[in-house]
Amino acid sequence: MIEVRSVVKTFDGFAALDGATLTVPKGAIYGLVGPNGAGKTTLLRHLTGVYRQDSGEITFEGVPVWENAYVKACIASIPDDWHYFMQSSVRDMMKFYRGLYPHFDAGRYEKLKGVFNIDERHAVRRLSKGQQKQVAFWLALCCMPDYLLLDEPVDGLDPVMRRQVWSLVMQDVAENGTTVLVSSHNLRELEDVCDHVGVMNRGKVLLERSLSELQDNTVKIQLAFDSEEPPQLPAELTVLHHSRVGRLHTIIFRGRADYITERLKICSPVFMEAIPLTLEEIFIYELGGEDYAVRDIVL
Amino acid sequence: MRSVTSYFNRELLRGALQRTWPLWAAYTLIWLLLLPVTLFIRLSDRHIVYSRPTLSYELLNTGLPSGVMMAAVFGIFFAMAMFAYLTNPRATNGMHAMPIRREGLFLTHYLAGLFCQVVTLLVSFALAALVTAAFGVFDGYAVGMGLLLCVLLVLFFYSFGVLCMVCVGQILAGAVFYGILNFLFVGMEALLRSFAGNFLYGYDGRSSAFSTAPLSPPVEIASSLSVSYVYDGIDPIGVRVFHLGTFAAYAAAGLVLAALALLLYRKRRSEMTGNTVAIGWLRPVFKYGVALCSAFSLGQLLSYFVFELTDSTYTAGALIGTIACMIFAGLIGYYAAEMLLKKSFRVFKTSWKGALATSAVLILIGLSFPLDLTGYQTRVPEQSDIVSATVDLYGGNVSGSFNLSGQESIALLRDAHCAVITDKARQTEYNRRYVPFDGDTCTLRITYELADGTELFRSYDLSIDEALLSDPSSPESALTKLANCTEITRARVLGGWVPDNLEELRITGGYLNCSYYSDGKYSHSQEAELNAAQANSAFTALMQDCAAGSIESADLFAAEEDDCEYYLSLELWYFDPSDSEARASATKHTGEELYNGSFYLRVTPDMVSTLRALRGLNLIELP
Repeated sequence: MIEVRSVVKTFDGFAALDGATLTVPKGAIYGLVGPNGAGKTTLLRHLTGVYRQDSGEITFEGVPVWENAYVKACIASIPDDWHYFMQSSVRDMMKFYRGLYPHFDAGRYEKLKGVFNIDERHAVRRLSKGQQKQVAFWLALCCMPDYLLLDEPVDGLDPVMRRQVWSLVMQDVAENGTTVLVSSHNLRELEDVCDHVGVMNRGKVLLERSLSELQDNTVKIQLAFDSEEPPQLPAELTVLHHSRVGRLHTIIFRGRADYITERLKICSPVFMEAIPLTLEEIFIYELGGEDYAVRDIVL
Repeated sequence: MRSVTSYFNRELLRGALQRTWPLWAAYTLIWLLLLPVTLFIRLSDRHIVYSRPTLSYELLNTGLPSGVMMAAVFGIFFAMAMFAYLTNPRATNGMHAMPIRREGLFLTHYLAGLFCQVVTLLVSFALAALVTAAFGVFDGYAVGMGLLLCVLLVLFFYSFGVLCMVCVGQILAGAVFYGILNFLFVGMEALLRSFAGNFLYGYDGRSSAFSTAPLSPPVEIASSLSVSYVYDGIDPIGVRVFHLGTFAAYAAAGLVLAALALLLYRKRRSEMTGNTVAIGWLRPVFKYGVALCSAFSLGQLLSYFVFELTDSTYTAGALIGTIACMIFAGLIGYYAAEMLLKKSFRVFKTSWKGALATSAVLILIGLSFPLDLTGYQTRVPEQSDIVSATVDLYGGNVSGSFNLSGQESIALLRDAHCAVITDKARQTEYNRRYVPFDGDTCTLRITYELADGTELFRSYDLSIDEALLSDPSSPESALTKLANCTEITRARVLGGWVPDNLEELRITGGYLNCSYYSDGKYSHSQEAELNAAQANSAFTALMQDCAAGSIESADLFAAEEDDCEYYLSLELWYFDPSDSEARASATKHTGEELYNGSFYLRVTPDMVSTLRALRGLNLIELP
């Protein structure tokens, strides 16, 4: 389990992390979402022991990660700016990882050769951005990590390769119980792979739930009423967003779908339908309260 | 889960060596050319025959300066190569995410750089040993000592380079810092001395050694390099290297710097990569340091161009102008440093307080010299505190360095010194004149040796006026009295460094030379060697002249002789039985006589007894 408790990190007076707290259960695939500048990458750099927090605590199974080579040996990470040596080939990088990660599986490296289909004698710097990402995945998976920390991991990968790497990651989770923390803007993709989601903004984790919990707790209802003006909605319902086209109202509520539809019946709608929200919609509407609502742009 | 300590990683070392092989190869190639190849070429030359000591001397005397240069240049190159990852955010993050502690990363890279250099030195010196052995001139001491000293130099310069790299977040900044810091202290001392020399009456920093030289390693090491032959009688039998302690001290300092670099590395924040200065508390040091360096270097240069040609030193105008130039240059340095630190040109609004503080400090420093806050300019030691003094006096017919130890002479020296200090305003006035002073000039340098073991040095370039000789309080009068005191008079006749125990000296011979002039032009000369009896006769007459005062008076206003008919010089050789060291190395000169010293003097027409005695010898034709 990864635990982040009240972590604060400031850069020249700007709080990139402002009391961030999150918990990644063991064996979970945890999606960390948030707008640009929310602090996701900073948090991941703390989790990999690159940055040291000003205050707060970051532990893996209760052990701090900072300057702990044993903990870090169980972590493989793919940052958005993966580092390789300028003159190194893929094989050179493999040797480098093999020399540093005690659980590095050379057999797996050979097996995955066929999956990634990249000439290992090729200098990494001559590979395309997508191929470099593949190399990063290749090596990270060979480290046999207990924790896989991914920052925008499939950026630059083609759809087939995206599916391929996610499949490999899921396989690791299923077979080895690997805990995966993935930060991404591609919410559609996260929705398919994650079982837990945390939403970050302004250096804080606003909410974190299992995906099913999150989806169960937010609902989109389409309603139509007889009258031009809609009746007063029950006061106990929390409205996250309300839009209207003619007499058709689309309202995002926080709460369970069955409870909300039951309560809305007192408004006597002529039409009412509950539609499940996508992760993207949840992300947008949850962050609405943080001045992040999608604004109508009139040109 | 437990925490493990990982201080070294073999794969990391292998990777570091693999990545930096071009640098390593270049370093090795240069060393091979400098040492074994050069030795082979020299020894193969059939026209020159090298003995073992000669070759050892060549090896150390030319090899060690090369070693200093190589260590200084490649020290930073290897540091840059090994710690380049600290100057690239992606590389820093990548390396620091690896399962190895910061200590492990540092030590592995540090050792990799050291390994490259030491292995190259071992190979080069081993090949040099083979080459010299093949030609039969192998000297284990020279090869071993050369290798040892080069390794010690590498240890220092490389560690210093590593420290610089740890402190910066940009690769070029590391090289620039290294270059500047190697000479910073001597440079700043020279600049401060230059400033003090302009505005502190009596100060002359040009003649003394730099007290901060040990903090400028290339300067100190270069001046410490000294190799000499070891003799067995006349023939050299080997070589010896001096100042080994200096090299050992720098190597020890290198280890301290490496330890400091490790401490800083542990505290260094990964996010500081990309910044000019990557250690938080060093940032203000850098900012104000650049401001001060800029003020004293660029500021003084500016003031020289702006004020030197129109005004002169010691004046209020020159001082204000110089301080203004220093503030201007200091602020340029301050804001340039601030821009580098903040990586932005928009620094003026936010950093005005620092600029104000910088200006205030510069004004304070600028004024502290001429206002003489420390009492430097007016200090004259008490008579009781002075053990002895050395006076360098140049003016008129007085020229030389004189040792004074008698109470009377020292009292006269103090009087002269006080008169010169009191005369500061007039001297400043002379200096301020744009048109050069049309009177005489006199140079006075005083070194007091004080009872507490310290020395006090003052230097004055004085403009003197013959009309003021009658004023007893004037420097002209006081200096003339000093120049005619017994000790200086005797030294003027016999030379500045004659032993005090004149009576005990045994005169063993001498040499006489007379150059003749006709209408101010050289005509011809005669010379002759004096035997012991002749020399003793001349010496006795000389002592009579000294006792009778039959010598030319010291005159600071005496014009240069352009109408003299002859210039008679006499050199007397003596044997000083009290000088045991010199006695041991005394050289046989003529017959059975020995000498271990000599003194040289000019015989002037005033020295009537001496001239009479020399004429009586009939050795050369005298007027």
